[in-house]
Amino acid sequence: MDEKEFMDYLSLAQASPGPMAVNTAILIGYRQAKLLGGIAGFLGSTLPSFIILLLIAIFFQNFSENPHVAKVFNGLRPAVVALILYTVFVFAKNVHKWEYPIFIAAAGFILLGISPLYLICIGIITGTIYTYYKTHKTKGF
Amino acid sequence: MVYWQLFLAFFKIGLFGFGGGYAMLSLIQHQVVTEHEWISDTEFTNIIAISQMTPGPISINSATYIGYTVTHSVWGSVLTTLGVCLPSLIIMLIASYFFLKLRENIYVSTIMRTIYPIVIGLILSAALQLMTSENFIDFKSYLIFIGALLLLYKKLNPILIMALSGIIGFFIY
Repeated sequence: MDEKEFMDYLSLAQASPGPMAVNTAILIGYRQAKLLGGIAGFLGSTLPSFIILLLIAIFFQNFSENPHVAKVFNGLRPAVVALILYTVFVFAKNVHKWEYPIFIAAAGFILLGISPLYLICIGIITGTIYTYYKTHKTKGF
Repeated sequence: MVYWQLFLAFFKIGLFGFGGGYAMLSLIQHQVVTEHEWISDTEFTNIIAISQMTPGPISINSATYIGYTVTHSVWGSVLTTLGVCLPSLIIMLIASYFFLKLRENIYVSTIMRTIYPIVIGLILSAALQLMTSENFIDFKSYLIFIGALLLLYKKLNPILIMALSGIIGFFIY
């Protein structure tokens, strides 16, 4: 496949729900060998993570009570929160200023206990109506 | 039955997981910590730390880990991992079948653009919900937090920052 085709696959994988690496692997697998290829891509992209994390989970059960391990994680947790918050700053650069209230409101709703699933549904419905309106309006001219 | 609930929770996470790993964290947090209370906020933060430092997508990593932690069985891991990835498999196979039509579809790109601010909101809420007294034990935690933010701003590798804060944690706590 050439670079252009790969970029097409990549943008589709990114626009779809789920882990992007897995989505890309399934698309490429299907292109090469249809259904079996898609399933092979799926297994190939998920199994390594699955095996590694399963082993860590099994071993960590015995270590989580260890005071030395607890100290390390006391240091790790604030850094994790920093990492997630930093992602917000990075992503916010890609949207207009007038969209800031939207994401602040979305975060507020979730903190009040509203499921993020509903917010995504609202986003999809709004996006669909907006696109429908936009495409039909341009067709009218 | 906890196995079925785990599978269903992670299937929902996979189905609505737009916008990459960090956006999915908010969905995972809501299902696993807030709604079903399978694990605590502190455990959840530990799991993200582990998922961050291991190779592979953060959503699969945390699904596998949470599946085992909740059930103490390999089958828990199998079901959560399958649950979070099955929507991908179904949607991507359908998309592959109709790929040529979908590629030119303006709906896909415009809808993605519309939900982008909401995705940022999800990530923001995940960060705010993790600002608990268990994650920020004392002023030293805040120093690590501010230091990590500065190093991220300086474009230092996140995994290096994690390793550094782990080592600092070991010595100061």
